[in-house]
Amino acid sequence: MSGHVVGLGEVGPLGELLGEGGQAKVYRAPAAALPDVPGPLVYKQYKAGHAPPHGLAAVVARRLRMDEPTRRRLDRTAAWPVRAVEEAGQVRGVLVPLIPDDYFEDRVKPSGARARTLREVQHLFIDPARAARLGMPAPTAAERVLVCRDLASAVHLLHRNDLVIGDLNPKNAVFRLTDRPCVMLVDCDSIRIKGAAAVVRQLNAPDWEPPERVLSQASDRYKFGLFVLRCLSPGPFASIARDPSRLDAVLPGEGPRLLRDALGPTPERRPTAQEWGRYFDSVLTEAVAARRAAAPATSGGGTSGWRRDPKTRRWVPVT
Amino acid sequence: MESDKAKLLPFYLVIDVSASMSGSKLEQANQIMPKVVDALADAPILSDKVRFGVIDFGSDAQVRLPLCDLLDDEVTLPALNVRGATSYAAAFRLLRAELESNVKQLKADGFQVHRPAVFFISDGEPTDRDEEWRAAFRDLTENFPIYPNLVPCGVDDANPRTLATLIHPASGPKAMRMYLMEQGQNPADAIAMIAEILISSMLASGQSMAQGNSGLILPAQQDLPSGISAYSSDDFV
Repeated sequence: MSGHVVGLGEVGPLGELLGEGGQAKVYRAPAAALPDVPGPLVYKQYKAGHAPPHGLAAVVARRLRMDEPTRRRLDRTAAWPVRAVEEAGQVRGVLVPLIPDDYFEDRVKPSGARARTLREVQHLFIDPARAARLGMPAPTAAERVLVCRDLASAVHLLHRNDLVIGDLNPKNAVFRLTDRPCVMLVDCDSIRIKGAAAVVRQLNAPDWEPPERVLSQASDRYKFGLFVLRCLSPGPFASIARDPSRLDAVLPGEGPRLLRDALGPTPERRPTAQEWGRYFDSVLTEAVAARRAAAPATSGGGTSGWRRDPKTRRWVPVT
Repeated sequence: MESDKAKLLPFYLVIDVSASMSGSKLEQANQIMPKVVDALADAPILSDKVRFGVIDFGSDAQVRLPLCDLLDDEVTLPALNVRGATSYAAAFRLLRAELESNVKQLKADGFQVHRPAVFFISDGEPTDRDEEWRAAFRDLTENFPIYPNLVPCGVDDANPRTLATLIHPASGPKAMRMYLMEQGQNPADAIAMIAEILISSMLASGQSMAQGNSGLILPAQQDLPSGISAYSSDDFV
């Protein structure tokens, strides 16, 4: 059975237009329902000439073949294409789960206009005071580490399942801080299965080009390094930064070396997302332990980095 | 280690505030800057790419918003008011002086600078003598190494033939375009639509700048708001 494809008729009448880009329009699809997707769906309708030529079905099918815990994990991690939508044998669009509310920020823009804004990770790269002034959250250093930790696990999940993200960029990942800081990959069209061509040509966003030309899991690891660099040293021109020494005073322990390897020209030396995940776990565990040991009475506030305590030699948050 | 030297795109709005702009046209003109700020607030990493400045002109021309990072806390947006005639010559002369000093300043501060982009909005004919404003335009666009990519935009009584001569570069692979209000359109609405074009052009240009293009990307024909048409320099003879 070709369960990964549905006819346009099964999408039903479309609801509100949620967004429009150069290649597609995204509508609510209130009448569409799928047994394997608990929440609401949206319909991404490709503009004429922009329907992906091939490979979409394989990306959809890969999800359907996952065991249920992995698929649920994937659905929390990425707004994954859950069905290809065809009309007369042609791909017209794709059904995707609606991005959950907690990835949106209700805010007041500088003009005073109210807006509901998708919390794209680009907001993590700017000066936190500026972000706050623009009505966006200004996460603490500790929250930023948690965001990096979560993105590491997202990348690991995809890599473990033989997927290549390709175009990780400031707009196609979104974050939330409530509950537990999390990152969700959106706009997953450019994801491809390792060993197969991409659904749409994999491209680099400006300022996210890896040293090599061909995009692979190794270039994902490079881009993850850029994300860590830019997320943990927010401020003017962080969004174009490539110099790992920006984090020398911020990342404890192995961090500066991991980052240099991640941003280096040798793809084989770049740390995997799993190595990054373990590293961030150790940073977070040590920070918590150090805080408990050093100041049992203080409540957890923002930190701007870590330093080594001269007596205990432990990494402690700079307050 | 590779340096993090930034490339900036200076983006200017040069806008007519002659007497004929009073009323709802001026109101819409005053909405442009807050709209640009809001657009940047949704794409704040563009502050690492784009600088914005405003010059207005009537009988004379004035720098109303010196080239700046619009998301900077220190920035105060000026209110535009009408004053007098329509001196294209004054606008071009001041623009040339600003381009020269602003680009020099950015380079001295260690930035690479893309060719400046200028949206020139007018609702009428120049009141200068013909040879005067044409000479000022030549000084701005010929034998001037930092000549701008100039996008004229006309509403109401602007003369398409006059404005078409301001498209610069007028031909070649990096030729610019002109935007004109369609017949019967409300001119204040047309100004709002031109603001939309300016903003989408600024976003697209800022987002793609690292790819080594000319630094100014104009929206595709099918993405233009209805009520505005795009022309190239050879559409009017």
